[in-house]
Amino acid sequence: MSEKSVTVRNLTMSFKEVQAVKGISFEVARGEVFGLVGPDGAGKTTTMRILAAILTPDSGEAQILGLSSATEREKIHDRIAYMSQRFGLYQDLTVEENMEFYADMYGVKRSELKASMDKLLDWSGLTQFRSRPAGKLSGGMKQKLGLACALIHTPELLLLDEPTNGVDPVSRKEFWNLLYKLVDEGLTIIMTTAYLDEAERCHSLAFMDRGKITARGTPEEIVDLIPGGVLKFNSDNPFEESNRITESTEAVSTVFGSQVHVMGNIKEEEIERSIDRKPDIIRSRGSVEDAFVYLSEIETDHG
Amino acid sequence: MNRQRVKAIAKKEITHVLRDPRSLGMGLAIPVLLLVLFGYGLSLNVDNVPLAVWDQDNTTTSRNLIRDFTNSEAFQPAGVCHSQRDTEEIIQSGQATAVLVIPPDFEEKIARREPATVQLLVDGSDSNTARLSIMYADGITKNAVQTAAMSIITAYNPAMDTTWSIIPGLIAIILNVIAAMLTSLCVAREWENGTMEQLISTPMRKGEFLAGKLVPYYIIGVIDLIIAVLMALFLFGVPLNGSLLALAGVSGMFIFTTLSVGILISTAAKSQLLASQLALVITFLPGFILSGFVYDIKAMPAIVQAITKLIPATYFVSLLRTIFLKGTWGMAPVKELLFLTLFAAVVLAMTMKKLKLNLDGR
Repeated sequence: MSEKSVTVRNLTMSFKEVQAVKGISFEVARGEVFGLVGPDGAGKTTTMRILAAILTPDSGEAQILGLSSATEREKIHDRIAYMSQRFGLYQDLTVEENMEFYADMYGVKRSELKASMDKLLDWSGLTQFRSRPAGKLSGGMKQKLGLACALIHTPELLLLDEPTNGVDPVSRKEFWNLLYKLVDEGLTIIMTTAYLDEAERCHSLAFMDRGKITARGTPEEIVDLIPGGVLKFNSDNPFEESNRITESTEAVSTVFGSQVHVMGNIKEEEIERSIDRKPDIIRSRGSVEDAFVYLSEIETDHG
Repeated sequence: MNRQRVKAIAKKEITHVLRDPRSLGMGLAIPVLLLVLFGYGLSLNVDNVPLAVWDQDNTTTSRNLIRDFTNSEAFQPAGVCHSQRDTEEIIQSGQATAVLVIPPDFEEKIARREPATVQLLVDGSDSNTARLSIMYADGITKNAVQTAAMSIITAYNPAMDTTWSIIPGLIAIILNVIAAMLTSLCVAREWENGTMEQLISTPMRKGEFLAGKLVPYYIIGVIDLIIAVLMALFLFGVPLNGSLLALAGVSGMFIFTTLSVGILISTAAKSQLLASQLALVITFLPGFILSGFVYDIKAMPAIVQAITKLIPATYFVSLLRTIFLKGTWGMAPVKELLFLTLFAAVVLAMTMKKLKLNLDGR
């Protein structure tokens, strides 16, 4: 058995005129949290659907747990779990009924169901809501129930499409704690997200933009892709000064609160010249978020 | 076919219906309501049609026949004619809607056991009354002739009560529409709610999905049938002359056929709204107009008659009438059952082909 959980080679996928995925390749190792990160419309959901073997790509191949996503769909479905963006919870069924339904769909033995359901309910903190209809749960609880349903058949690979979209920060944190517990138990997780702070929590990342993967690696490796690091300074007019920098230099500039971040082999003097003042400029390594802003800007300029 | 999955889908589907008052209402209350409304409202009986008489025979037999007519609830005496001209004038003036003409050799022919004919002139401006008058007159005449020891077999519905012939047809039409409406929502709903994307990521197979969807609605269809038959027997007093087994067999097959039509529509249509409207148009209109429920198929143009032969409801309407009123299987019921089976098989094959457990082409 290979050490790779998922291997993707040159996947392409078009819908009518739009090419949603333009020849992407990546690998996901067993037992890691792999994040597919990018803005809306980057092709993340399409990629996830191909990995879940519910969508056939135009060309290229995806090996899921050593199985071909084109010809061995049912075997893949037996062994993975996919949580779509709008997880298919039945709003009129209770928490327990939803879990029971998915357990039956995956052929979980009745004798084992009670134990694994109790465990998952306890693990997700839904025990006290077990008789509540799914439609009456909060957003965060719905996501947890979705996860519990997805895990009821103890899959080897978990595919999560924007699992924390629209979930409040506290629930998001709880959700991540649950994911880490799963990884400790040996599960491989592939997730998409548009939140860059979540990207930093992944073991491995691929940045996807307009159908292409523009960067891959660990969060550290991604950050290292910013040449010369990030120059940061405080400003009273951050947006105006940021614009002036991008207009007069080759650098990429972005605003975080009252702070301006400048990236791309630029000297402090050049910044001072373009904004006509001498702020306290700090050079640092930057974050994943900086890296993605930088990478997507470069892609726009050159692509 | 994994039984655990079929059971899970069926159980979930039943729960949906039980927890949604609207679908429960559609499944159980509407059929009852329709049966009551149409059963009482659509009664096609005509009373006291004014009838004039031109008795050219003037014998005991002819006078007996006239008495049979005027004693019936359907006709009331409206005058006597003595010539062809009289008959035309009395209808033209509106004094009579129908004229019974008895030829001079009427009694003689009956005595010689030859076929005797009487003539009925009818005002055709109200075609419905006209048609019914003919039906009634036909019944009365045949009854009269039978008492004169002619070897004519009593036709069905001797009381000429149209409620009797309407109710079995009505049961057919209602089951037709309700069954198709019920299933028409069940696949489209999964797509609309986003639950289908989740379902297709499970190891579920097409056959399991369809079976799980069909079983619960089949049960509802059978409950509807039982309610409808009980209402026919005890509320409307329609006699069940045929065997209950025949009724169950034919209806069971028909419910399956229309459920299949509904599920095909649901698979093909992407939204619940479109699916339910399609189901209504596809099942209700042909079922009501072309099945022989309201309009006599024999009176339709040849090409329309050919179309009626492709509609399951046509067979069901005639089979139900046969079973209820004639008490026999009618002519070649095996052929009709075979057609229903074949129809369901074709529709399900089309559904299997149309149903995609992936997102390709969406």
